[in-house]
Amino acid sequence: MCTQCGCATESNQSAVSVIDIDVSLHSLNEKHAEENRRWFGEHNIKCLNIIGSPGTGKTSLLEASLPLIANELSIAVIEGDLASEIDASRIAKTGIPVQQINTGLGCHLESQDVLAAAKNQEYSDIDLLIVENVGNLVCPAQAEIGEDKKIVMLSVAEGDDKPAKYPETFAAADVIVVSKMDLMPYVDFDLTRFSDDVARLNAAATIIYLSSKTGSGLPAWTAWLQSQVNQAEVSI
Amino acid sequence: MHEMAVGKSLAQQVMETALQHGAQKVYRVFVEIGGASCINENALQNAFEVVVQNTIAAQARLQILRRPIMAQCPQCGEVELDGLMSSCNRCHSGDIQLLDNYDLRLKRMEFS
Repeated sequence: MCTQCGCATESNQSAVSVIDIDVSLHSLNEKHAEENRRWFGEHNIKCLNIIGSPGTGKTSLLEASLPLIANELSIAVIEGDLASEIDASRIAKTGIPVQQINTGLGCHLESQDVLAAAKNQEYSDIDLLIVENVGNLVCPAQAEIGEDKKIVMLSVAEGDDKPAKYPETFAAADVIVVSKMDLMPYVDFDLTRFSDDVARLNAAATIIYLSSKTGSGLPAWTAWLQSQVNQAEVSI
Repeated sequence: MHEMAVGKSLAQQVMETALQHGAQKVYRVFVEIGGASCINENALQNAFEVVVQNTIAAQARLQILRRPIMAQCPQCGEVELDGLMSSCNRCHSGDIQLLDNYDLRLKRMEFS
């Protein structure tokens, strides 16, 4: 055995071959994400990936906002959860097509599952596919599903320190939605600290502050959604 | 859970490479991960160990090198950071661009 690093534990060290390679291990995920991207492109579908902790209000935001633009845009939703059809039934009540994916123990949605759901007949003419990922502020940020934009969401009840504690996720966001703004009088959420931390991590990200309950900030959110399809610049 | 998917991807790449080179047994596998990659090294070790059971890589040792977090500073060029929210550690400017710190690469294999 080599005394320096313990390599070649077999006695015949000279028989050991060493090869230097350089292969990305994200390639499998990238390959599937690329397939999704191609499929979305061919069908003229914009795909948005919503990431946030359990209870941050992802489903509530979709319930409150999608009906406001359902006449102008053809939208469909994919809901990801470990178990249950709870979120899909909530969205179904708005009349917007929805499918639930249950990941079992999976902490994020896989590209292949998203594509299989997107190939549903009912989804063939849509403009916008909104994927609500499994409630988790870590893993979904690095598992691409071929989305056009990543939306990272947090509620003021969770605290202003989340960008500092989950920097990878906030650094990957195109849009950051801060929800439950109606709770501001009851929580110690320092907006300046929050936006400074975000600016540090991800200066290019758009931040939208809203409350699904009161409707404040929803026009900025729906305008952004529409801009994704219309490709027009919308000032927020 | 996340690392299991990465472990599978790694094992698949290791086995493909081993096959291409007619390897009988894999001794060591070297992987590099980006400084901001959400990979827990111990979890990846465990996942890899499980996935390569009963293969020619069953005894292989996985060596994981975590690279520093890198950023581009307009003043100093490419610099290492202490954390994703740190300033340039040379000129202390906060006006820096993070580079790709999420990569995960198979770099080297030893086999016979």
